[in-house]
Amino acid sequence: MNTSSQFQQLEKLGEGTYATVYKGRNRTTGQLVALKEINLDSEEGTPSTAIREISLMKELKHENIVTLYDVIHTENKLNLVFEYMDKDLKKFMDTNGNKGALETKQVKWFMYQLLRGILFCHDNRVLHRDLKPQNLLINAKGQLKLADFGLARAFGIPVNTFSNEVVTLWYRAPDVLLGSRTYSTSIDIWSAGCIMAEMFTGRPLFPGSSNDDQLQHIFKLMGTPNESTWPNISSLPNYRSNFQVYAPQDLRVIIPQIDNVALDLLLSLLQLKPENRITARQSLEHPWFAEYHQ
Amino acid sequence: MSANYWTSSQRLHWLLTKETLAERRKGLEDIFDPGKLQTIKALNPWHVRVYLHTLIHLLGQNLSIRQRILATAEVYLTRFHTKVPFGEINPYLVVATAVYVACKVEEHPQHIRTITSEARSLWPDYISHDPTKIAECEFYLIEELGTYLVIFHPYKSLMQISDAMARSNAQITMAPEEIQVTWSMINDSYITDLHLLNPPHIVAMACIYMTVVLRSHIMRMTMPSEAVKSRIEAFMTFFGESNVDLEQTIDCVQEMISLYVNWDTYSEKQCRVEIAKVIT
Repeated sequence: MNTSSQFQQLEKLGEGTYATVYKGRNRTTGQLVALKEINLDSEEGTPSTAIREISLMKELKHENIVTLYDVIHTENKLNLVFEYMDKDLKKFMDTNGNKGALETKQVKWFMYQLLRGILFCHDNRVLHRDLKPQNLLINAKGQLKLADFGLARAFGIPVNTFSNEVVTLWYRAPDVLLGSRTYSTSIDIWSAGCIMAEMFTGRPLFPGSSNDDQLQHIFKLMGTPNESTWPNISSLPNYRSNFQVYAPQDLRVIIPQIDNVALDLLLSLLQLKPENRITARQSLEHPWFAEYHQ
Repeated sequence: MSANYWTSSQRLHWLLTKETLAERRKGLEDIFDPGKLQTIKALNPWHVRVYLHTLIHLLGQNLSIRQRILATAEVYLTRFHTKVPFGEINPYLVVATAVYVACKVEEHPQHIRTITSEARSLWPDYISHDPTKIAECEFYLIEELGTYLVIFHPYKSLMQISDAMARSNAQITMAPEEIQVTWSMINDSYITDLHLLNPPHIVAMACIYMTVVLRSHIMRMTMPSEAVKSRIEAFMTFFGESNVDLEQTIDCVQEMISLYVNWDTYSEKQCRVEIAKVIT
């Protein structure tokens, strides 16, 4: 069985972390799919990111997580057949937003789905570790689903094997940037906060260009943490006592249209100290989502 | 590794009944010609399983791979042999490949060259220098497993059940030696089909039962025999109240006893020679 016989390969949809994604059509049913094509080197074996993604996606079945239908292996390629989604959140914002900015109602619905997907991962002891608008897929029905689990991992394993080179810089939590290797579910929550702000404004909240610059962007807005706001912060590997000291800013300067309830949730997601960050479960019970609670 | 057992592929796709398993194995015999089938059938299946277990552990030790990863590899091997019969493919290659895939799934990837050269140094007659052999076998293995790769093990259940025992009655707190013995028994359980037929907590309970009840002599060193007896009774009360399926657990105990009985007559050297006849 090979892709060319079962699926017709259509246009390229994008480049993933370790693969190219094409639109495809099932020749018998006409169903659209996303084909994630991974080139195999005969002397290297299948990349462990691909193995990890396949093994996790086979376990994680949820309406806010993209479905893996099939894995097709040919001589020099591996194709992961995923459900087809129209676009990623980045493209959705570019197409449907006002200079990228989405309406409050839309932000709320996407955030609710994002946090539900995250909760399902966390309940199943999986960290996504690479949440960003490009990894959140939107279909024609307005459903949002988490994709690209190539960097995801289970968190029941010793933390010293965690690498600190994971999440895309802009959505990376300050504790990870400071070199903490004991991070857990809270790193996905930080990313969710960054994504929420970006949906409101159409622009990335913390567009840093290096590890230090990223911290600088975060501290400028959220305030520079210290031993009293974050005990033991000075023991983290990348902490420096000469960080420039900033006072926290009012986020309404950047997001004027945000109401107090939404702002309260955003601030709970964007807590600098990881232990203070809200959990996915708590966030779904936040009053901002009251309309979905009936 | 991840996710929860009740919604896992292990429970939904890879939990078999004894009857299905027996049928599948029977169905696999057709691919051999009568002569070869006879040679294979002459092997003691328990001995073959023990032999494969020692191969996995030998490779694992030489590469300092953790027990849990080897357990995952061993489940892959057992599942694989419900689709492809033993004798159909070079078992040394499948063992090396199962370890290679398990390392990736359990997030301690080893380079394919490292696995290849280590396996070759152990089994030069059966493993070539060429890493593409393992790369080819890798997807063969993954496909036969239906790409379901996440495995749940009884080690966590052992810790949970022993905690529950200590909480329910201090008398049945497991001693460190007992935990150790149970842990080793769980390691041995991978030689059997128990992981295809039972959820991990049942296997854990069976091994605990064997330790506390059948190997109660461990405690006799430090306890009068009356106390050991009343401890066994207390354990049986705990077991009865635990809602763990009694019949299924006792079935597992039987299977483990059969393993140990057969293991007594096992000779590695003889088994290696007999297997060599089958795969050449």
